[in-house]
Amino acid sequence: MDKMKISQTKFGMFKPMSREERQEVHSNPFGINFKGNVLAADVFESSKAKETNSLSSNPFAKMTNKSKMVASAFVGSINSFNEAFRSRVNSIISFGKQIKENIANSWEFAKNTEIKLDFKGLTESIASKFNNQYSVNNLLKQPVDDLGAMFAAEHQTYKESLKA
Amino acid sequence: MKTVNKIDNIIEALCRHEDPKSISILEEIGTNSEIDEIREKTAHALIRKNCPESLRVVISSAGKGINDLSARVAMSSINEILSLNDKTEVLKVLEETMNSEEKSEIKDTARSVKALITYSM
Repeated sequence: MDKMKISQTKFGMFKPMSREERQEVHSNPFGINFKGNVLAADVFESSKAKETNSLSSNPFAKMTNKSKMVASAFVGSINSFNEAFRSRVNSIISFGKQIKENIANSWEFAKNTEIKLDFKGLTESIASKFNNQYSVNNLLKQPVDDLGAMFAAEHQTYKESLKA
Repeated sequence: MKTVNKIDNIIEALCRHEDPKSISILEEIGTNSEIDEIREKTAHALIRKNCPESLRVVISSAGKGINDLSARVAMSSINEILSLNDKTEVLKVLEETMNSEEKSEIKDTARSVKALITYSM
């Protein structure tokens, strides 16, 4: 179905026409003037048409030309909305698929990964934190002379590291 | 453990040690160090000891503690003195330095620090 918008509607009805043209095209026998221009659209509803409309069961049959244009424009806009909606839904679906694939890959990776808990290493690392020779508590247990010797040695090391 | 951290801990242990020899060790190695950072930390430790012997090192000795040639070491030593809770011993040592010290520079510094303590109290 072609999309139809109100803005695209050709209002050629205001185009001036000769009397002959007018008679050929329109069922309006009076050739109604609107500020000097003859209305090109058949805005008058013939009595014949009215009779047929009243007899038909189609509810859209009563619609005028202009309202048909409006309706078609509305339908066109619904179609375009549907297309936009469909494209968004598709993108959501593809996103969902991607997530699903990622989860599946992660699960495969987790299944093939061996988890080990190294208690021995953990104990050693904790023990090294608490049994640090240079912790203040351990240093306080040592005689002052030993501390003096350690201080001198570490000071020398630090001095050399600054020079290097 | 880094060497700096080891030195920090040794200085802290000497600061807490009750043996009076710890003061002489801090003075000998720490306050005579070429490194500003070590001199600063040693001066802080001697001030925190808050005993007359340790305070004399940082207040009455030329080139050490508040008389250090490095402005950073001198100022941080003064700051450490001001942050002491009990300033009784410091005031005594400062008074002693002002009355007995021959060098006018050391006297002036002691007088200034005493004035600061008086204003901050």
